Amino acid sequence: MTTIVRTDHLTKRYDGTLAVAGLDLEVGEGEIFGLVGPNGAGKTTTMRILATLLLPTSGDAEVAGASVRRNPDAVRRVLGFMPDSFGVYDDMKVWEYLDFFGRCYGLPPARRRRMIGDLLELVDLAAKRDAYVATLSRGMQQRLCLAHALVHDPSVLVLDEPASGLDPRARVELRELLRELRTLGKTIVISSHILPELEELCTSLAIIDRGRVLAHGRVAEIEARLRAGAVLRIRVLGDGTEVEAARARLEGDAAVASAHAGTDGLIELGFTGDDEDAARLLATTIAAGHRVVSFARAASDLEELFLQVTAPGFDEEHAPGAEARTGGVG
Amino acid sequence: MNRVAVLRRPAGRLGSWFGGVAAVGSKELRGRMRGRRAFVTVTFYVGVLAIFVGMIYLLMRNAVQGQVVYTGGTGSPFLSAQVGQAVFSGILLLETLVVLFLAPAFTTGAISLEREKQTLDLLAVTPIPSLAIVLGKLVSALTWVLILVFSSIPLTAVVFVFGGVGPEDIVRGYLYVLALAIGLGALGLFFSAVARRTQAATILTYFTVLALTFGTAFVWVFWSAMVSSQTVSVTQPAVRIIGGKEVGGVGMVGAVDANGTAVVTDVSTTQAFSQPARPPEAILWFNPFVAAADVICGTDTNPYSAACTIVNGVTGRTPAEQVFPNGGGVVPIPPGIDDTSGGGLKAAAPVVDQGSLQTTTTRDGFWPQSATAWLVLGAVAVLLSVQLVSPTRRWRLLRRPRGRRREVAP
Repeated sequence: MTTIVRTDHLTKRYDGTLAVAGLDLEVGEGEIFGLVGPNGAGKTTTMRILATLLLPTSGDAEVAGASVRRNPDAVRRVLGFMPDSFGVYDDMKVWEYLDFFGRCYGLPPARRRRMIGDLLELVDLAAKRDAYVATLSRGMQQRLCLAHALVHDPSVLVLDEPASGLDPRARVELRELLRELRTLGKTIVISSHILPELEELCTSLAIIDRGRVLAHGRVAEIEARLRAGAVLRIRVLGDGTEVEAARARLEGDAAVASAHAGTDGLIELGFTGDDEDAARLLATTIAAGHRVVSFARAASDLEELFLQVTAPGFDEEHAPGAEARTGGVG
Repeated sequence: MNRVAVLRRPAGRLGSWFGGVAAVGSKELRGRMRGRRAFVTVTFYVGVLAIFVGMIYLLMRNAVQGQVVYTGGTGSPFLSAQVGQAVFSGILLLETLVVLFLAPAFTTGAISLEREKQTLDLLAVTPIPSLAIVLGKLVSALTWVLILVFSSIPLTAVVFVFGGVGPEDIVRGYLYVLALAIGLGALGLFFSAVARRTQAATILTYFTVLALTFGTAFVWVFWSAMVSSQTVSVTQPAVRIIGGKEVGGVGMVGAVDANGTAVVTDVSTTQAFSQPARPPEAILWFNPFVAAADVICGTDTNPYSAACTIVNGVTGRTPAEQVFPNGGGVVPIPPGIDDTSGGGLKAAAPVVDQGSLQTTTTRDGFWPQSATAWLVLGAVAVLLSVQLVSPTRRWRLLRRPRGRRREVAP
């Protein structure tokens, strides 16, 4: 896979505060790349540098081979950007709004007309073509803003927290839309501070905190690498002694660090093994005659992982710089 | 690495530039002209102006009728010209006032509103140059102001019915108002780009406009009062002695005595100081009222009218020094000259003197400088605004971003 977005020791300092500290990222063409981190991690700064709205203090970033420092105009032509908090020109009609941005990119009138029809179809606003932007709902405005980022048919889309402030239904619709854009061959860089939102959507992820990469790679790779400390939840049927027997048996396994029995037959395991170990554990438990009802990783692995890696002291132990580079997808 | 081909538009840089100005300008105008508001505003404005012109006409008619009684045979063309000039002065001053308050009002929100509504980023990531954004905003705001100004042209044309004002005077007036609108609009735009909030931008703009107009007038008056009080203390009037008798008449050197035999001697102890010092007129270049007075004075037959007195006071030119170019404005035929009889003028010297004295008027001595000053101010304000609007090019001339020099490649 070819790299389409690359940052090279990207650093941004605001009056002494280090917002981004030597970020090295690579995004392959056609990926949906998630940038995850707590508030103030440097996600927005990174994305604004990519969108040529900020100049890096040092280091550089490239989009489709064009440097944001030396050739911002070329970057602007291949990149569509949707800021985290954005406004709309609400005194315009929906089609005028897209037409205006089409003119900003210098598209000829015939192409603008075609583009407006296609995009409104894509974001499901065709019925609102002649409505004023002010009358659209928040979700519709979000979709319109996404459409505006697509007027010049960019190969890379940078979306800063596109799902913030949306209701669950609008979130699902947005996710569908992004998947559809991926099938159209667009590379999407998307940020969020809510990990589950990205977990099933993204093909690769970078977890950043305080301007540094803590983990970077394909979603499965990151999960595998940080599996240590994951939590397995097993529910077995039976009375207290039956459950206790199962717990004692599980605790004896080499891949299990701890086992606690909860209520209603639930046993929580501190699990250190990989998927092979997990499969073996399930097979041996059933073979031993325990009646297993459910066997699953704790609800959101990545979320726990996220909490784990963004906790103070993590980066010193795990040397994130080296990890990030080996975990790259280039 | 796979380099995705960078699209270059066929029109090239200049095309993108004009396209950007047109895109931003038409978007802004579309918003402004939408609905009934614009139509109602123009109608209301022209209506008020019409009432104003009607009032000036009635006032002047009354005043002029009185004049007819006192002076008897002054002649109706002259009186009619006075009405025309009064109407022209009124409209020009009103236009100046309208532009003074409206031109900045239409631009003080141009950039700061985009910031407040968080739409500036959307614009900044498109390839249109910042200069095109700034100029597009300025052009749309000025178009709106100029629609108001030019909608008054039919009313201004009323002065042609009365005479006294030539078409070139009206062109002068509108040229000046145009320059003033550009300067003021750019000033508002600059403060809009500087301030984070529209409210702050508005306050800063109007404070500056007041300082540039009334503030400078105050400074000028204060300065001239200080300077002239110094001058008065050292000046003594010249004394003319003709044939042993002392007569008045300061500075009338070269006049020939009626008898032709008398000895003419000018005695003056402080002749070097006879021209009182003035503050530099550049202080008032941003005062649109002095410039308007200059345009109005150009139409005046009386070099001691209120408008001319103001301009002459500022520029320091006395009417007698001016050579009036023939044909500017409508010059009434002075009574006593009989140009219908053959063989030229009958009584040569005294009448010619009298005629030239009557037609001596200051013209174009001030407003072109003022218009230029506003245009220069406008250009500077636009260039500074571009620096402030551009997300990554702030003050590139003054301060290079840190770490830049090391990485720069040609």
